[in-house]
Amino acid sequence: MAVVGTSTKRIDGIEKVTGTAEFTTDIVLPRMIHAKLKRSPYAHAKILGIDTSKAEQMPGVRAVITAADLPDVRLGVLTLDEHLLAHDKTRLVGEPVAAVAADTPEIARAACEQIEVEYEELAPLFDPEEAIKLDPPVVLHEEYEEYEKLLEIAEMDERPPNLWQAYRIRHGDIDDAFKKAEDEGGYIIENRYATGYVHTACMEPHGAVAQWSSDGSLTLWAGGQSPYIARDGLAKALDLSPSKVRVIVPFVGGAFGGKLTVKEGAIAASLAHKAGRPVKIILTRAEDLAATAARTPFIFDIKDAVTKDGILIGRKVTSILWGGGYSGEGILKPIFSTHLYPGSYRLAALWVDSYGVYTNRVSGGALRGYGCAESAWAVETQMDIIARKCDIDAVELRINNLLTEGERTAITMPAHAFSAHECLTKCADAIEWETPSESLESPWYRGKGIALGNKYSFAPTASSTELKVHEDASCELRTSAVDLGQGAYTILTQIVADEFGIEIDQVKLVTPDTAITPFDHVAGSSRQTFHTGNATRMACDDAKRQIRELAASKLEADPDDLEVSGGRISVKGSSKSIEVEDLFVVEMLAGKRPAVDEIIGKATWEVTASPHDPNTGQGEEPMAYMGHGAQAAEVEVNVETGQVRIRRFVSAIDVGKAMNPQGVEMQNYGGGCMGIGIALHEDMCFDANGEMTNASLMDYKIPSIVEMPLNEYMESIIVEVPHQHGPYGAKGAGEIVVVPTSPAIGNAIYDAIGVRIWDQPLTPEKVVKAWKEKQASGNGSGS
Amino acid sequence: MSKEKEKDQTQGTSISRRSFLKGVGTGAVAASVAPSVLIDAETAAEAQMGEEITRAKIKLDINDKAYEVEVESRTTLLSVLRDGFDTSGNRVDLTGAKPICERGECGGCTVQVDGKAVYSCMTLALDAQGKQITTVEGLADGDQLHPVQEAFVQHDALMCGFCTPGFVVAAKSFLDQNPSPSHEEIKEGLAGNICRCGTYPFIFEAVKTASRKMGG
Ligand code: FES
Ligand code: FES
Repeated sequence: MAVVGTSTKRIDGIEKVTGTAEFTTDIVLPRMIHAKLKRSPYAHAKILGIDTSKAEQMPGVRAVITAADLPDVRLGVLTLDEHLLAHDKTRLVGEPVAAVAADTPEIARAACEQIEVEYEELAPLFDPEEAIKLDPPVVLHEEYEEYEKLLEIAEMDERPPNLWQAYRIRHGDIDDAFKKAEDEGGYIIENRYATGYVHTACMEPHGAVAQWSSDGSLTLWAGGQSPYIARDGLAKALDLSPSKVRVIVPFVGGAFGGKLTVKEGAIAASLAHKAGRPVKIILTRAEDLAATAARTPFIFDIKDAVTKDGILIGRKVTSILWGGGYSGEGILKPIFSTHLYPGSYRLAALWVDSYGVYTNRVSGGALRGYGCAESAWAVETQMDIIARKCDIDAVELRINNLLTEGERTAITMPAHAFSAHECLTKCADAIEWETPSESLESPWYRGKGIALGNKYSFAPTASSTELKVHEDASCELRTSAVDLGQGAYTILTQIVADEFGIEIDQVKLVTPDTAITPFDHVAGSSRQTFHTGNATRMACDDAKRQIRELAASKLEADPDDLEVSGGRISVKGSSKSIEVEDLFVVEMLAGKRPAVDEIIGKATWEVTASPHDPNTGQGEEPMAYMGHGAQAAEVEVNVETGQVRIRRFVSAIDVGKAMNPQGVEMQNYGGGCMGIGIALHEDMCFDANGEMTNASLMDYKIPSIVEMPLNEYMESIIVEVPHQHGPYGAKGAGEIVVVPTSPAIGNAIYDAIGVRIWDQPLTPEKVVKAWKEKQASGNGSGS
Repeated sequence: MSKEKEKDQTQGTSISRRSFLKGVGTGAVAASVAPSVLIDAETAAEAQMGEEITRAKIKLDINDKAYEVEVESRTTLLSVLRDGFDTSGNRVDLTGAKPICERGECGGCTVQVDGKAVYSCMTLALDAQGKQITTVEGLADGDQLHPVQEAFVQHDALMCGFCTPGFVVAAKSFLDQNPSPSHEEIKEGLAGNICRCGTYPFIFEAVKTASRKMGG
């Protein structure tokens, strides 16, 4: 009975459609009170004093805290540059400076307004190109040199004072590549691209519930991506031993990279400690959008050397990640974004300087595709431009430049399970690439565009699982992998059912709880199916080994000759068998107990990596695996209003092995939907003081059902090129689905109306402006 | 804004969040009262309401069960469902409807009031008196899921599931009114709900299947 590879209904579907699935915001504990945050109205200011006395005296207020109530530790992902509550300075609008817990959220909010903070406003710095100067007008972190750092950055003669990340790639002879292109009639193509401010905008806002026990241990419920990252972060922030912290993950209402850490949870915990009561904190939608980490912009300057036949021979990139007040979860983006510079292509020379800088805006965080979705915008638009310049079909040009299985990319990643060609051609066929779009009546124009993408999944990383077998032959999987909606729980259940030959409903999942479930790194970087899937399979093997050993004497056979399936242990090639239940014995008053030990399989799957040298970008095998995907769009553009309609959309992604095909299809559509929003309209806007001006779901527009192309015009293609280390050959699908979307759409707009827009999102205003400029100059503004 | 005026506007609740907001103008109000978006909408609402907060005991008919609850004039139906207590001190405890924006922009809190889908975050509890309220918890008949719920599960029309209760109620209410809708009508009918996971294509399928099952 193959369960893996068969479309399987989500195991938690019924709870979700009946409203019984419990999310953080649904949790109510006895004596629980509510927290609100006092946030900075200034992008950059010194904090001279905080007077909480009025707030403390309000009826119903149970606790008020400021930085003075917290351990003086700086937190962060790899550069520890941030306090839980602003210490002496605030570096972005919305930074929390104090917090209140009260009987109701309304009282807590009113009390926040009674807290008086005396600020000395400082000049803010918003422009990343100013920020990166050696003598910038403003320095955000005067004490940067003293911060603890867990990651080495590239060596520099002098570090610009607002710089927190520098990474270089030095591969091949770049000068020679440009010279060759010039001398031999090729092309040098140089452009600047930018991405916009995008928010994860999860439907479930950030929040947590914290409760202390009398023994001084803390339990936190929070819908995050990693209970263990959360546990260790809480321990550090509150100066506790990690063993004193228990993190339980209820249902999670979307994460997309935005729920890696639990800052609000740590504040709630501190309030709960002071108040002696459980505390719940749930951010408002405006807080969630304006003051939690976002996908902040990149600026990319790309210069390519291409032969006259359209072969890419050299690429030089300088990029700046427009970071915010703190380095946060964006810390690795300047590195991970470089994965797309070679992408799936062979590049004899690659020269990259990638930076991240502080500015007084919202901090940079993770969002589906982590840097790769951003650099794909630049690289895959560039490929379209090159194709047109060389007068070669855009699909053919890409194919001519592809690596082949077994080669290494310019950043030393082995091209394994290399499916770029298959994704690209299947995608092209589905959108009828060879047939140009029909012409429409003015002012509407139609065009097609295509793009490739990759997503590397990071390493080093590890996942552990435990699998307990019960006397009724049902299995219980204990995992700290989190289902964020991507369907991880269903896939892991399928694996157990498959390995034991039992039904889906004979598998029970014990969901993340650090007191019970073993370590799993994070539900991020498209790693759950790959890593936790492997660990689950191995734990099943371990449990089956134990069962075979226990059954061997009963069956008078060698353990290696036994088979475990469907609740029975049988001797291969004979009719002799016993039931799993026979391995348990009857105990007076207790029903059944294990005859020897509990049957608990355990496993850890680990992928090590040799770190890249930050000065050259070269190393051994830097990442766990490399995912591939291609997307194509056909758009309709109205040159008078600038409206862009997606007429057709095709997404072809390689998942190695589709564990749950219906789930992969959903990722394909869901990712495409988010990608379309990011490409066309999602855009956090800020005023001159650095405050987000569209912090509502009305004004920060994520796609609704109205913008999605009708079903018959959306196509999901599943490519299966097995990875040697993936469970059943599988790779993750969660992020690759948003990587090629923007360039596919941008290239389609060019095909339709002959204009390039270089900075995302591709809004109607920009379309109209670019069109008018083209009309005025009498030709295209791009190629 | 006077109580009367707010009541009028709230009654106009339709399931399209755009047309709805045109009436209420929540965004504009918040901006004019508070300089910062980080002061949430409720503060703005309170500022408008001034001192005139009164309390009243009312009866609500939720999922065919009578509840007596004490509410303030500004209490929303959503907060009664999720956080309210009846007068004998029992929690109403219907947390299916989700607070996603709490200002009429997302549909996460959709419930049916007298057969019509409304945003419970923008409906005053007082205005729901004497009307039939159905929440997502009230759709299934024991273990027997409502055809819309069944179709959502069958088509995997959900991922994280946070928007799902709102979508399920909106879809049910839409099909009650339009049993055999076209594609375009489905789009229009569900335009008042949003899903960040992007489950829309499967929601289309689920609504079509449910329409067939419900005899549409
Ligand atoms: S419409 Fe009510 S929570 Fe968004
Ligand atoms: S299923 Fe996640 S928001 Fe809709």
